[in-house]
Amino acid sequence: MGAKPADAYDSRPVNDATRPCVRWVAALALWLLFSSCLVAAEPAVRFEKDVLPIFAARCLSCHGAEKQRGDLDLRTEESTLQGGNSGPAVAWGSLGNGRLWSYIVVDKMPPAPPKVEDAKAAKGKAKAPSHGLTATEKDVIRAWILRGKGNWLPSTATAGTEAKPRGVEATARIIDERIDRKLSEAGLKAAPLADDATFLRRAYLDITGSIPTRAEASTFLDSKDPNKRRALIDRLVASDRFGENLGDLWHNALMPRTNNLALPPDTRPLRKWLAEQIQRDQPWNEIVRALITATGTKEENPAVLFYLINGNADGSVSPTTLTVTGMRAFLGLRMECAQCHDHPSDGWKQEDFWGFAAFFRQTFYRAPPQKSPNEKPPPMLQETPLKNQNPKVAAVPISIGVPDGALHNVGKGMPARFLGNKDPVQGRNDDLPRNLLAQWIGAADNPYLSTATVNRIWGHMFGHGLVNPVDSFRQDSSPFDPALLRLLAQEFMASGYDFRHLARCIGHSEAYQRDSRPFAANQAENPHFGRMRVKVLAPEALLRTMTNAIEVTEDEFLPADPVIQEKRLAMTQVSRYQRFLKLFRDESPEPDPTRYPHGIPQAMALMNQKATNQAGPMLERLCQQYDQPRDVIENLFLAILSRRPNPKEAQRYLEHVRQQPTLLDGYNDVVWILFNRSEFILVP
Amino acid sequence: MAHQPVCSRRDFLKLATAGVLGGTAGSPAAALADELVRTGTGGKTPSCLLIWMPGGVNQGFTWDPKEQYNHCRRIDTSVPGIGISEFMPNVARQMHHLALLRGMDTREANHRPAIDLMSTGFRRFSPTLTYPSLGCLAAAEIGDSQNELPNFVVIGAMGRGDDPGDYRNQLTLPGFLGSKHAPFVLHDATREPDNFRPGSSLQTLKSRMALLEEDERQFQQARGTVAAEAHWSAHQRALRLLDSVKARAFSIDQEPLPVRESYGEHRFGKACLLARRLLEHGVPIVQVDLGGWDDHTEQTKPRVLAADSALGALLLDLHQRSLLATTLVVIWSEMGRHPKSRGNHYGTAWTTVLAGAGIKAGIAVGRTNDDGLEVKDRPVTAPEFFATIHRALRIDAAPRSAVVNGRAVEILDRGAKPIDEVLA
Repeated sequence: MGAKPADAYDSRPVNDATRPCVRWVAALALWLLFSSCLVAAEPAVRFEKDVLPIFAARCLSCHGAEKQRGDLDLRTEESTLQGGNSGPAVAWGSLGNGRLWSYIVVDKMPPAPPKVEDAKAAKGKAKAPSHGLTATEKDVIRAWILRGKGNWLPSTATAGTEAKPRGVEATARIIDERIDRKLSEAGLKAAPLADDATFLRRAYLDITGSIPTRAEASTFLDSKDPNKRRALIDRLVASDRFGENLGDLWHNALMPRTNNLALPPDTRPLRKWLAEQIQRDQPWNEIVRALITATGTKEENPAVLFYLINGNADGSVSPTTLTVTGMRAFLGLRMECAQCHDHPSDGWKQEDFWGFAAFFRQTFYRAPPQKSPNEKPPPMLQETPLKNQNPKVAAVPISIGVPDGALHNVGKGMPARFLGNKDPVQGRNDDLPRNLLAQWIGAADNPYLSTATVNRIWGHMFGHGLVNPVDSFRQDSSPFDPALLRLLAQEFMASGYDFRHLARCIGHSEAYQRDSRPFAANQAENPHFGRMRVKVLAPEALLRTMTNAIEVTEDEFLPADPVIQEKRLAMTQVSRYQRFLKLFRDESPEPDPTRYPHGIPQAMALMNQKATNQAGPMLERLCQQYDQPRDVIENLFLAILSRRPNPKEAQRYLEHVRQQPTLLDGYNDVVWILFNRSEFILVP
Repeated sequence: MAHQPVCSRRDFLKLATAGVLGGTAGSPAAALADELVRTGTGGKTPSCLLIWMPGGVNQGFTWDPKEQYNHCRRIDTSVPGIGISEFMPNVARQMHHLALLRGMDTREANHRPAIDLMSTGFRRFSPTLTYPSLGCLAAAEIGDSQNELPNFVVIGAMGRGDDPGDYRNQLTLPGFLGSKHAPFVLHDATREPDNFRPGSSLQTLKSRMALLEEDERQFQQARGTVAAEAHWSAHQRALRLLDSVKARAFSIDQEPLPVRESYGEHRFGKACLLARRLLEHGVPIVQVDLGGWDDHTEQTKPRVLAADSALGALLLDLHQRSLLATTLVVIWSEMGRHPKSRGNHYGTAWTTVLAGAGIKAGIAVGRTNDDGLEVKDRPVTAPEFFATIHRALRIDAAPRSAVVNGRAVEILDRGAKPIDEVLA
C-alpha cells in the first residue's frame, strides 16, 4: 500500500504542495458535474452494463467470488463502494478521494500478471493483457466515478442567454415523457387523474397558498369546459396571490437555520417585498441581486432584513450566516461543514465557504455619523468600496480571515472566489464586492441558481423535489431524472427566471394532476411522480385557508392574548400572527412537506379554537341565504373543503343536524368536523 | 433520521411484561426486562425533574459560599459538615436529600457555548448537527408513547420570549431527534395551556369526535396515508388528555392555599408547584426554567431567596409524597461566577446539584480551594455530569447512538464515566 505515485490521490492530509492539486481535482469534478446538467443528456454509465464487464475481465480473479484481496469485493456496485481494508474504494464524483482510481490511474491495478507457473496452460489461453487497464477502460471507470449517482450540475458553456424557451405546453409534455419513462423503468404505473375537486384544492393551495371561495369552487366544479384545468392554473398563476404565496416560500428560505438573535426583527416587510417583486414579474435573478446588494435602512428597503435576520446578536453583519443561508437558498448547496473544515464527502473546501463569505467583508450595518446633536439617524446597511493600497497594481484583493473556532486554518486569510473557479476574485478600485458576487450568481451562465430554484418550486408543487432535500444538492445526490432537471433549469433561464412560466409548465403537466391514492401498480414508497404525494398544509397556507373558509380577517381570527402576555410577546416581536405560524411550523431538522409534524398542542388548537367551534358571520349569511339544511351543509362543504358532499355524507350530516336541539348547533358541529378532518389539513 | 431505540424503555417493559415480545420466561427479552425491573428504584422507571437556571448562577451566593469575600455567611444544613449560603435557609433544611457537585470544571465561560455544552453534554462543534437537549433525550428514552399527558413539559419562568431560536431556550430543543420529542411548553404556570378548554363543551367535543371518527375511517380507507393516521392519532391523544382527570394536573388552583404559600407567590414558586403536580400525575420529564441569573450584581440575593423558598418546599413536598425516590432532580446552570472580579462568568470551579432517584443523598462531592478559584478535589467535566444523569435515569445500559444524515452520532460523549461517588 502507498506506493509513491499514489500519494497525490490519497485522501489523508498531504503536504501543502500536493494539496491544492487534490482540491482542484475534486472541485473541478463537481463543477463538471454541475456543468453537464445543462448539456444534452448523455447516456449514463452504469455499473452492471459498463463497469462490471471490465472488472470481470481484469479484476474479479482477485476481488471477486473466490478471493477478496484486501477485503475488496468488486462484484457489485455496493460492495465496490464499501471498499476494503484500506477504506472506501470510490468517492462519488471525486477521482481524488477513492483508492480505486488512484491505483488504476497509475496502472498499479490490475497488477502485472504473476509469473506463470504453468507456461503451457498460459499459452493455451488468449494472450493475457499486460498490467493496467486500457485507456478506453479507464475512461469508462472515470466516467462512472464522476457520474456519482447521477449528474445534476450545470455548465457555463451551454447556459446560453440566446436560448428560447420551449413554451408551456412543450415543457409540460416533456415533463410527462420523462416521468413516464422513469415509471416504466421502475415497473410502475401512473395513477389516473385526480377528480376535479381534488385538483381544484391542490392547484389553489400550491399556487395561491389558500383555498377557493364557495363561488369559485362551485363555478369550477360545474364548468363543462374541457380546458378548465389549464385555464385554472393560468388564472391562479397570473393572480397576485401567486406572488404572495411564493413570497412566503422565499421568505422562509431566507431565514437562518438557527437563530442567533435574542430579538429577531419583524420580517413581515421582507415577506411583502418578495411578494411584490414576484407580482411585478421581476426576474428571480434580479430579485436575488437586489437581496445580495441591499443597502439602506430596513424601513426604506425591506431587503435589508435579509442581512439583519442573518446577522449577529449585536446587530452586525455576519458573513458566515449569510453564506450558509445564501448558499442554501440561492444555490441549493449546504456548505456549513466547510466553514470549519473541508467537507468530508462532497469535495467542498474551506476555501469555497470563505471564498463566498469574503464578498460580505466590506458590508456594515451601522448608523451614519450624527450631523446634529438632536438628530439620531437610524442604522443603515452600507458597503465600503474597495480601495487600492498599491496604485501600481490595478487589482485589489478581497479576503476574509477564518475566525476562531474553525478546526483548520484559523486566522488565515481566504480570498474571495466563485464556486468552481480556482482563481481568487480580484476587484478594482471602487468596486463593491457584493456586486461582483451578485453578478456571478445572477449571470446567465451561472448554473446553480436556476437548477436549485426549479428544484425548490418542483418540490413545493409535488411535495418532493427532483433532488432531496430540495436545498441540498450533493455530489452523491441522485436526482429523479437529471435530464429533466437540466431541462427545467434551461427553460426557467430562457424564460427570464420567470416563476409564473415555471409554475405553468409544471401545472400543465399530467403528472401534476394525478390522483394520490396508492393502487396495485403503484404502491411504492417512492411513487416516481406516478402518484401525487399528499402534502401537509404549510402554516401560512393553514392560516389563510382557515380565515378564507369562514370569511374573516386574520385579525378577527387570531385569538387575542391577555394584555400582559401580549406586552411581553410584543417585546420579543412574536406577534399573534407569528405565534400561529410557529405553532404549526415543522421545526424538525429536516422538514418534509409530506410528513405530519403535529401533536397535541396543534390538535387542541384545531379542536378548541373559537373559529372552528363557531363559524359566526359566514354561517349566519348562509342561513339567511338558504332555507334548506341540505343547502347550508353543501355550502359549508364548499367553503371549507372546496367540494360538495357525496350523497352518503350529505345524508349523514343532514340527519345529524336535524337531531340537534337547534339547526345552528348542528351546523356548528358540521363546521367543526370539516375543519378537523384530515382532508382539511392535507392536500391530497 | 431514525433514532434508536424506536421503543422507549417504558414501552419495552410494558411490551416485554405483556409478553408481546415473545417474552415467555427465560427469553432474552424477559430476562432483560427482569433485569431492568430488579435494579434501582423498585422497578419503576425514574422520572426526571430539571431545574434549569440559565445565566450563570453565582455559586458564592448559593451552594459554595466563601466567607472571605463577605458576599454572604455560610450556614449549617441538615447534614453536618455541609454549609451553604445564608440566603438558602429552606434548602439547607433539605440538604439530607441533596448531593452537591462542588467541583464542576467545564472551562466554558460564554453563555452560548456553555449552554450548548451544559444542555446537551456536547460542545457544538458542527453547524450541521444539533444535539438534543437533556429533557428531549430523556423524553425519547424513557417517555411513554401511550401517555395521556405529554412526556416532556417545560414550564417557563424565564421572563423571556418564547422564540425557540433564542439561545436561552436552547434547553428545549429536540435537535436531531425531531419535533416528536419536542417539549410541551408552558409560559406561565398560572395559565393553563393554550386551547386547553373545549370550544363548546367536553360532551359536544366527544360527540363531534365520534362523528369525525367515521369520516376519518373512510378517508384513511380511501387514501391510505400515513399523514392522515398521524393527524387522527394526535386528535385522539388531545381528546384523551382533555378528557382525563389528569388534565387537572395543569391547574395549580387545585392546591390548598398553605401549599401554594409554602412554594412562594412568585413565578418560580408557582412553576415548581406545577412541576410537582405534573410529576405526580405521570409526566415523566418536567423542566422548570428560572432565568435571569446573568446580572453580575448584588441583585442576585432576592432571586436566590425566591428560588430557596420554592426549592425548599418542592424537595420537602416531593419527599413527603414519596416522589423523590423515583424522581431524579437536577439543579444546574451553564456555568458559575468568578468568586472575585465582580462575579464575572466562570466555568472553572462551580457547583451543580443532583437529588432523588439513583443519587446518594446528603453529600458534597468535590471541593474548591479556599479562594474558590480552582477545584481542589474531584473535578467533574460536562460529559461526566451527563454520564451520571444517564446512569441515574438508567438510559446508559448499552452504548447508544442515533443515525443522523447517514452518520452515527453518539448520544453521550464517548468514554465519559459517571461520577460513582454520587450514585446510590
